[in-house]
Amino acid sequence: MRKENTMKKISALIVLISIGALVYGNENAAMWTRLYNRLDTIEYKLTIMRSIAEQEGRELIPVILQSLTETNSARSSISEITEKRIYNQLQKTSIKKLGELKALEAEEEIYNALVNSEDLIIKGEAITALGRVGSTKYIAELNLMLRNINMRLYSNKNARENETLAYALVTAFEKLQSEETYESVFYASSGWYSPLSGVRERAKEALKIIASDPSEILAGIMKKDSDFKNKYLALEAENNSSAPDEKKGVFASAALDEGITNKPGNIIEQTDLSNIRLLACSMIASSSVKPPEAVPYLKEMIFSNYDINEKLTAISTLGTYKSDEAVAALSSFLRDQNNRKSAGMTQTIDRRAVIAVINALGNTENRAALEEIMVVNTIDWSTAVLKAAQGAAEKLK
Amino acid sequence: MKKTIISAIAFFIILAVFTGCAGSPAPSAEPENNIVQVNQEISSPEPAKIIVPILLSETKYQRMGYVDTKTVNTYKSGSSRLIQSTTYDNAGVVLETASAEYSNNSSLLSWYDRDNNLLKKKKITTDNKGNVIETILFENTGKQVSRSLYKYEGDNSKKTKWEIFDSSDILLGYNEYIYENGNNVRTDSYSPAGVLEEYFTYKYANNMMTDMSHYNKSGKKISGSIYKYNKDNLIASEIIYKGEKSIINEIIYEYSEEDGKRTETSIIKTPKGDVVEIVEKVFAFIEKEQGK
Repeated sequence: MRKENTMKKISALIVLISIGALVYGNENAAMWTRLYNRLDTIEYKLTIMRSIAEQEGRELIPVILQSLTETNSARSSISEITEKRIYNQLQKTSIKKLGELKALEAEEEIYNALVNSEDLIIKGEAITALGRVGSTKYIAELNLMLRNINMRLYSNKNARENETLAYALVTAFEKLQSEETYESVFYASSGWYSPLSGVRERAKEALKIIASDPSEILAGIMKKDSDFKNKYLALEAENNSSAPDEKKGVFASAALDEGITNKPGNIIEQTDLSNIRLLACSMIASSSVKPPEAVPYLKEMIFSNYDINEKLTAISTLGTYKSDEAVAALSSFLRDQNNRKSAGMTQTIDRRAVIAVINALGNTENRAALEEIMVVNTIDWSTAVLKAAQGAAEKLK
Repeated sequence: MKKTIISAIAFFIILAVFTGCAGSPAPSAEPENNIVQVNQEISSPEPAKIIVPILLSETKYQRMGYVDTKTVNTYKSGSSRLIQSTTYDNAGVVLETASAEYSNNSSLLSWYDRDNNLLKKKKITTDNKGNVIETILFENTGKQVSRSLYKYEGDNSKKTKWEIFDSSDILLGYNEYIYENGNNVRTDSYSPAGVLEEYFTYKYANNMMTDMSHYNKSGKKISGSIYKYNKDNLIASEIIYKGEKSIINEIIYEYSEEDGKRTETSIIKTPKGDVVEIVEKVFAFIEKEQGK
């Protein structure tokens, strides 16, 4: 009880001081607002604005917004370099503070500063502030800006400047959580940006936040984009998203189609397509919902001349199904292997694949799988294969 | 005893200034009585020990679950002396850091950007009772931006005057604080020439502030706030309005406790009920020797 009382009274201390901060925040805001308007010189206003930026409280918004409006209006009439530098510092300070205070009422003036300023830092601060205040009014314009930077359309600026703007845009879109920006952020995640800029990594993380279910947008990218690397990244983004399992399964199935139908022109494309197939299999295997439309693609992977690891992955993925179609696909491969073994065509048989398909059939828990497994016992397979067949049969009985 | 109270308040004021929560220390108003009781209960005879709250973190959310910024404070082991403060964004990227150096009666706070470039410095000086008597804000070049001077009445640590000076140390204006029954009931704001420019009045119930009104020099009401408290006398809400009754924002306060830590959550809403920002502060409590 004593401790409880003590804690209560300490709380009173905290609250007393919190109240103090709130109440006297009003006095601070009033004092600094008055001082800001006392003199008209730009140097004086910058000094006062720097002190204003030290304060907390939404009561400060009107004076900061007033300052930004004034500097926006005066911009075109300033030509002297020193004066311009002070204006820029004043704008930067006011924009940053308006962002901190989540001053949505300042969105128009912040956007004006963004489009009319030539100063990179002001542009970056303005983009960040538009995100922080939750401005959706200029999303289309900002989205276009990122798209153009992704496509290197601003060739008059250096790469570092564009990277700075791209980073600010990605973080702003992350805050605004508008699906409209998803595609441009996606292309930022696979864009030309240097690792040092952090744009790609930040964009990758932002994708998870911007849209909880980006399946439709990513399906469009998967279908339309001819770059296999981007197809892979679209699949990866879908996998990392919060889309429901059912949609992820359908998406993975479509990705398998892309991974199988497209033919590589070089070793890089071959790797990209293989990565698509392997990630799609992994998504299906870990999903609770098994897309039936993926079965023919998985079967094709088993019978095609792919790397053994891909074959084994496709076999184990089919083993996560329980359907008759999946069992039929696996059984047909095992039948083919049984026939080859019976015919003495042992050089074309990979024992790892035979054992894997038997295990996968056992994992289906579908009794229809027993039929072809029983055939294994009638052929002169190695002990390891026979043992696998015995284990699978046990599971299915 | 009073020194203990003052040092606890002074600590919080320095912390508030450090974290950018306040530009001016609050006058020590009547609720001192509450604090006296705290210290009476939790102080042991020799050497006297007190428990002080320390702000571990402050997280600002744009919406529930999405962090705009999170500031984490670290303290000297077993002490309420803040050593470093780091502000991160939602992805854990460092946006800004701040560090503090202490001497007898002053602390020097320095802020740096993510590339470790010095942004600004602030020097806070206290008197022997722990009252903040001066704060100076410096540019990264070391040039003074502004300076505030605070004066207190006799022995009771009630702030009576706040003066602001510019970068050339010229007086820009000042506030004077008027008390009744130990409570600050009015603050007058003057020009450097001593002309009243605006004023604030405060009302109390059971020594808890319930109303703040801000007037221009002609006595026209500019803005105000109404404070409400929960059953534990903790602030529950603040309604901020413009003019006589045009509501601008409402702030709702919620509290929870876990593992000896207290979380205070404030939710800032527009008059339509849209959430502007959610601020979550986590406090811990440490025991320290009185006067240290």
